[in-house]
Amino acid sequence: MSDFIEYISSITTSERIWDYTRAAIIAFTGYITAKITCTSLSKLFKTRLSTHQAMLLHQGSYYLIFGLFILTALNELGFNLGVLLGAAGIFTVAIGFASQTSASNLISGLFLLGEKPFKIGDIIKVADTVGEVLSIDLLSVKLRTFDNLFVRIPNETLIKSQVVTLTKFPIRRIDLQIGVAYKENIARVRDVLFEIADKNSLCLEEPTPLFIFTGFGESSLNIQFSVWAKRESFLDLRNSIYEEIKIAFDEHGIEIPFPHRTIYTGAETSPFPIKTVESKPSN
Amino acid sequence: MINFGPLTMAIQHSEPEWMICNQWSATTESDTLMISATATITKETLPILENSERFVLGKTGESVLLKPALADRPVIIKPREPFNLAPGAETKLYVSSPLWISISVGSPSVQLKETPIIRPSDTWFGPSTLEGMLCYASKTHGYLHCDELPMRMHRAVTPVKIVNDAESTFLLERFSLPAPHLKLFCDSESKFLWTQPLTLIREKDEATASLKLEEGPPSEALNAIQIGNPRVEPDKSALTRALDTLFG
Repeated sequence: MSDFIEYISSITTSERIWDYTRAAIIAFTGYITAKITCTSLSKLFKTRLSTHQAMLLHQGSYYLIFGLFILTALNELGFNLGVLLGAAGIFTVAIGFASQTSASNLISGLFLLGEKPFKIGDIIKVADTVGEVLSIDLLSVKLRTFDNLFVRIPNETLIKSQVVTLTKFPIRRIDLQIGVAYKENIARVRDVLFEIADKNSLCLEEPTPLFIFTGFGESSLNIQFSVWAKRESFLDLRNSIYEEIKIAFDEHGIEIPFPHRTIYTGAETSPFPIKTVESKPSN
Repeated sequence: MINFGPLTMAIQHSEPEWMICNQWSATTESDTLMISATATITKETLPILENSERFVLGKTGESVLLKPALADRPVIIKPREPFNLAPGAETKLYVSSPLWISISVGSPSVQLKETPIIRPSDTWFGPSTLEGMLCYASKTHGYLHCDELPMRMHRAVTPVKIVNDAESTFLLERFSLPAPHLKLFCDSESKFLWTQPLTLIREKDEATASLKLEEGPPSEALNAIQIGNPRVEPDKSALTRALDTLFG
């Protein structure tokens, strides 16, 4: 017991206690400075930066300033920073070998940051997953799908696969696939479709709708009618224009055919026998 | 209940709530549509309209202020028949653009909403689908004489002078009317709503165009009084632009 008291008194009386105190004060000052600086920087560049860039600036400035103060504090305690940094380098290489997947994701994340194929809030499609981007982190991108599921996609997957950003441009095209009966006049169908597009206020006048006769189908004349919509009105237009096409085709007597099958017996075979059944004459 | 051309609007007030109902008739825009109003409506006679919105404001008083306003995006004017403008020639067109109605209540007035009298189609205006901006579309006859203008109180008329300073003939198919930059004037003599005149110049280099906005009412309605400010004050950089951004 007396040894312990002696040890404590030797510490408190020695200069080490002041080193510890100075280190603690430096670390605490660093923490406060880092917090104030990153908050001020975020506020200063709030209007000029996107959400994602602001987040990166906030985190980057915080860790940089706090890290520098911690290093100074360690130096104050007598640690040799050269040795520390060397050890950190070796440690990083070891970790890199041990966790190749994470390192690959990290590097892919840096490429994603540089390339900026999408930003936070965009709607993207990766394979079968469609969702809103919640965050773009160094290892993965987090999505919220429309049925409210949280999806984490590793950055490496995003770099390797096809990513479709649905909200990149302000307008989108809707390709409507329409089939009409063989008896119909294509020019008349064309006029009716253009009239529908002209009356629908969600359908953009420019770029003008596109009418493409895609060919003779099994049961119908196949037509692609492409109309443009504001990104926000995409779904509304797709729903309303199909309904309007059905109503207009009914009004103009344009038939949307069901699949037909013509059964041919061949030249060598005799025709199909037809049997007429007469109803019994009533007395 | 008020009819503004194709728009039927009903406003109901029962403290502290205001209810605004709108309905657009399916009839196509006629040249002779006028504004009519029915002052007193009881609860029993209030028509059932399609779009209704409720606003709770507290005590506001009974006053309602309806003010016309110009479109909140540029309007793309497309003459029904495009025409050629010879080198060095200039012409003056009278074009009309759709109006919005701003509904404010109480004193001091609180704006409840803005609603278009005619819902114009959206259109994209720019050199490609990547560059450009969303605008409203408007087909016009592009009258060359003021007397030919049909009486349409739910549209504002803008005299537009188009000058071709280049050395080649210019085919005018469409141009962008910067409605958010324009002031609105009311002329009791001609019974029209006007905006200040503007001049569009196709410059000599054929690649740029400039836009000049006058300050006061047009010469056709010198006694008109200003009833609306521009939504966006035009900046100098917006006045000289690439040809594509003014003429498509």
